[in-house]
Amino acid sequence: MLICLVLSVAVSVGQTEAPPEVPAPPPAVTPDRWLLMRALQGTYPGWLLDGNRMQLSGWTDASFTAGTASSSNLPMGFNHLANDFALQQNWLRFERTVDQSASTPTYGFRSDWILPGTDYRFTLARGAFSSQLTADHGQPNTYGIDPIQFYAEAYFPTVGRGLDLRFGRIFCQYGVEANDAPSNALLSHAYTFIYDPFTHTGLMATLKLTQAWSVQAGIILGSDIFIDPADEPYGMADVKWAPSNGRDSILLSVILGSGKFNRERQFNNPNIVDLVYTHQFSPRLSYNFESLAGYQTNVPEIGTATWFGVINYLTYVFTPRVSATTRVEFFDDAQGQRTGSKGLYSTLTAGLSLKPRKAITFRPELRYDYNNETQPFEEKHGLFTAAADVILRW
Amino acid sequence: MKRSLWLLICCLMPGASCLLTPVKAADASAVSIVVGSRKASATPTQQGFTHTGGGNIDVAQPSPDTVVVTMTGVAVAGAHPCKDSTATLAFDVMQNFEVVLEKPDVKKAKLTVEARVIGLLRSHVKGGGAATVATPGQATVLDGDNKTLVTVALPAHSVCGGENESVNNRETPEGVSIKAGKYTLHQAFALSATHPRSLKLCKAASAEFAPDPALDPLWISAFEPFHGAAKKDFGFQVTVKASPE
Repeated sequence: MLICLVLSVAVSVGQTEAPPEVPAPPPAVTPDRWLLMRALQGTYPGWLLDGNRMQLSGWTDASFTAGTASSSNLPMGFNHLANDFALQQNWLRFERTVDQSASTPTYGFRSDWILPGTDYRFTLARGAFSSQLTADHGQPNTYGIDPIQFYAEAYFPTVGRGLDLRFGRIFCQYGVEANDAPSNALLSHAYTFIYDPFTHTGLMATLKLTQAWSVQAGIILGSDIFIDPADEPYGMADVKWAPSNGRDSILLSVILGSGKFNRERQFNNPNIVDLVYTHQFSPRLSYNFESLAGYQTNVPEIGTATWFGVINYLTYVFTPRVSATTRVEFFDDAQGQRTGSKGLYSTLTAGLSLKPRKAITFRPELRYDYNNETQPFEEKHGLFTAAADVILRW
Repeated sequence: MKRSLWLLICCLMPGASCLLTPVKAADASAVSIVVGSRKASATPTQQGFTHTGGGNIDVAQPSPDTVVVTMTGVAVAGAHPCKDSTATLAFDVMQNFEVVLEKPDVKKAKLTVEARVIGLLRSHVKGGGAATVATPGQATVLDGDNKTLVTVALPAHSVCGGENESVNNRETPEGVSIKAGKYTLHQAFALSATHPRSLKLCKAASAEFAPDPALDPLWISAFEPFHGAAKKDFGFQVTVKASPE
């Protein structure tokens, strides 16, 4: 036995460690298939959709917001119904994605509908079902529909490092927060998001210059407006720096046009500059900073209206199913043209995002809003809310 | 380091010395099979909302006295709104081979034929789709005069109306005494899936007798009854083995 042991030790001496195994390449990313496509899988309609690279999907986002306001949380938008349930988004998405790994041009489209939801009253563009905003004795219906995004898309892989063209009604490309609920870490939205444009109608081009740099430019009909007499030529552009292995990224965006309120049509034409900076402290901890400045001239009784917003987001991912986010925002509505009440809005929000299943997200949050100058929250300076929503993807 | 640890374990285990003993080479076979010409085909037919996959006919000789012929394929038919759907995949093989007696003291050989089929049959409760093994696996060895020497046949299977079936059949070896000479293996197998036209959202019926990726997962339900099934041995396989008598 001892001889064997000695022999073994002797054999091991001088042996080198096996070279480390070469890590396998990451698996190809496949798009998520939600309940509707899974239910259609194996049927003729499902085959038609899959065979043409098309997908039908959506989600239902329902929330309850409790708070110190009695009937309305406005000017805190989106989850504005105080102490009430709200079906914020019942979203239907029909799309054919472009193939960015292809070597030849590919074509696609996307159609997004809020069908229905309370969010429509904030996102609706003038000229597209906008009569809903005055349908209830001059007031908006509680629930409505909004064809919030619909565009045709073409992708040309050989132009630069890829040129993407979109034509139609398209989400605004600036900022951290987004119109679609699953893209946001928190249930509620920042004032900087609520009181600035949501969608554009026009032609938008995105060109990837290098692995890190990309630029975007668009010719649009204004902000939050479809085909309407109040249309006027506007431009949008942004520059993005996001190295693939880097910890930081920067997105600088502008929306520029006349910047002049249309008194005849009573329509806002804001000019906006927005900066987003992202830093990844670790695989679990990330930070987002957004700063926005906007102005508009020719506003009745005000002249030139200006507003400014700064938001800080800190997100910690505990597990792939549990993350926590805090948001600190300062939004200065200098003349009250945006929110209806001037002053500096300061908000603090803390929330969780829990995913018990891949298709189910539960987002509870606590939020406090304060305006030092005026009393926008039912004649009070402050508003405390405790809210939660469930997003069911299908 | 791993190597030395393994060596240490071997040394400490009683009887572990056998692991280090070289395996004695097997004796040369007294009877061998020489594979000759072959006429083989896999014929798909499709009408309506259908899919066929695979269609492989693999002839292998793992040892001089053994020939293995494997047929693998898939047939799927779903509900087309305007027309009936039918998918079939039919296999047919005529494989010539010669049995050679390698040693002078061996005068005759024993030829054994063994068959097995492994696969899945699925149908949906709505719509009336069906999946069948249309031609049950069958293998026949013929002599030079086309006279049948030995036959093995597997049972038929079919499902419909929401039935699902995992098939794993094996036919015990059939043996026959033969002389050296030329012989032919005739092997046939066919799969079929049918579905009447329907406007309902019916899942397709499928006969899956091939390893991945012959059946695109998008052709079967996401909530399929055989999720996670190991498919590497799927197919109809016949093993012909010659041994000294």
